[in-house]
Amino acid sequence: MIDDDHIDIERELVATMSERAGALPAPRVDLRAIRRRTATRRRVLVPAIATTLALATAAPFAIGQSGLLKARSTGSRGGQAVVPAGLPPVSSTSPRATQVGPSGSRVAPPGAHGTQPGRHHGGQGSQGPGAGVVPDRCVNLRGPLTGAERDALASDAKAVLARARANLDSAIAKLGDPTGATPIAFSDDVRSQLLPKAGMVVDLVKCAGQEHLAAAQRNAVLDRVRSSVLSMGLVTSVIMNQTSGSLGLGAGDLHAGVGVVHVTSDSLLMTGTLSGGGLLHFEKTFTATMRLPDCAVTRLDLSSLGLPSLSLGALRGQLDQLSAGLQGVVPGVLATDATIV
Amino acid sequence: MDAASGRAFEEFVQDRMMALFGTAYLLVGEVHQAEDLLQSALEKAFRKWRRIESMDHPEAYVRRIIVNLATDRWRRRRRTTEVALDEATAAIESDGTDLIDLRHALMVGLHQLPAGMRAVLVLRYWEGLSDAEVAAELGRSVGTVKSQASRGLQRLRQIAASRHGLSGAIR
Repeated sequence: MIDDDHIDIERELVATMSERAGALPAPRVDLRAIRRRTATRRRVLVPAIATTLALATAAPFAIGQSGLLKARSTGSRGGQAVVPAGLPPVSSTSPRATQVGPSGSRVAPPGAHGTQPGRHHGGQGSQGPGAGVVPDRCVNLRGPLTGAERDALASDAKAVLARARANLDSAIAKLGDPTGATPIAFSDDVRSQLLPKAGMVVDLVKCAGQEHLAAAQRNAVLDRVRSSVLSMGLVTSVIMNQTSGSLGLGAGDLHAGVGVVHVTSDSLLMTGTLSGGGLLHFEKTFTATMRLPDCAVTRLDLSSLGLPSLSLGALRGQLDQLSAGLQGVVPGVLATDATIV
Repeated sequence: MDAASGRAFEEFVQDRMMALFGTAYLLVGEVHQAEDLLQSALEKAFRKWRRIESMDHPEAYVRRIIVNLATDRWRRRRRTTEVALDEATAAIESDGTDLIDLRHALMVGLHQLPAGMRAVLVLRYWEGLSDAEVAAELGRSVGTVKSQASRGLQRLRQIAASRHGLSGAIR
């Protein structure tokens, strides 16, 4: 049962969306079908359009030449123009192509000749949609990360973090122990500190005059966000579970938050905070040092929790169990030579 | 399309597929329809990929294709099937697991909203976009986005309240 006094519809909506979308299997996207259909479309549509245009321009002329339809002179100003009776003027698609004379008959503009119906179309067609467009080559280079690219990366990281959280919640829920199932709040600095700052020199790809962060580096950054959230989330959940047990607290009595303290080229220090506990006013922190890039925990400092009954064996066991259900996380989360103090 | 663009498109799909799939799923509410929607959107994007890849945010453009396709489908479907809100929520029986019930009701309620309103909520709460970003992505004014989000949430609150028999407890 949930406490109705605390239902926040926006929070529940975010949680529901993360839960549902996070549990989706990989979609079956058929790239070959996309390529095939696009190629077929070009093979069929381009000749069809070309044929239609050719017929539209040539047929009236041919009919006029054959005498099947009696050609008539407009008989008014600009009497040079000859249009097959009963047919629209060939170049009627151009607003300048014909004018309506005082008598209501169609007359050609100065310089236009009914005997050269395709001239205007030919002129346009010769330019074609692709004319003048030179395909750009992409170039790899190093350069500063722009603010816009950083914003885009931050937006991607936000989505990655949300999905990682949803996966984490789902894995914890499957474990069935409600004391560890309270959602963990990852502070904004988790995202911001794990991303390169604007102005930092990064790998870029320049395509069509636009510079973007290279896909490999972008993926590495997003993987770091994903892996650190999963590793730290699992560790926090298990510690919250054990702490609740030690203090005799129930589900939802403790809340957990995670923030980043320090990032180096090969390590990441994250801090977890457990708070709540009703009348106990419990608030303790612990830290986890992770190696990069896989975010395996190399050192876990639980000393400030002050819980002598904390079972390290059980902690390892639970981490093993939880991490088995998650992709993108080191098996067992803890590095084989991890130190726990 | 040259080979480099083709590769860039494949990389884009591999990288953003899950996020776009999540959006498609939340818009249509059914996995197979979402796959179909994603496939159609990527096909459209592939045809214009050379232009899209030079944009600042290719994903935003593809997401917009998804939203537009979902809206078109919703309009077509609305002519044939329409389920009343009360009827949809009444079908959910409480079994004591209220959180699960509530979330289920929210998903059902989300898919009873008009497509535009649903798109606003999905972009706002799943993609985490600001009102201004949602407005830019959907080609609407910020005021419209705010009012649609507010009315959408109000509808969902009604559903949640009906599930729990309380009207004032849900913020």
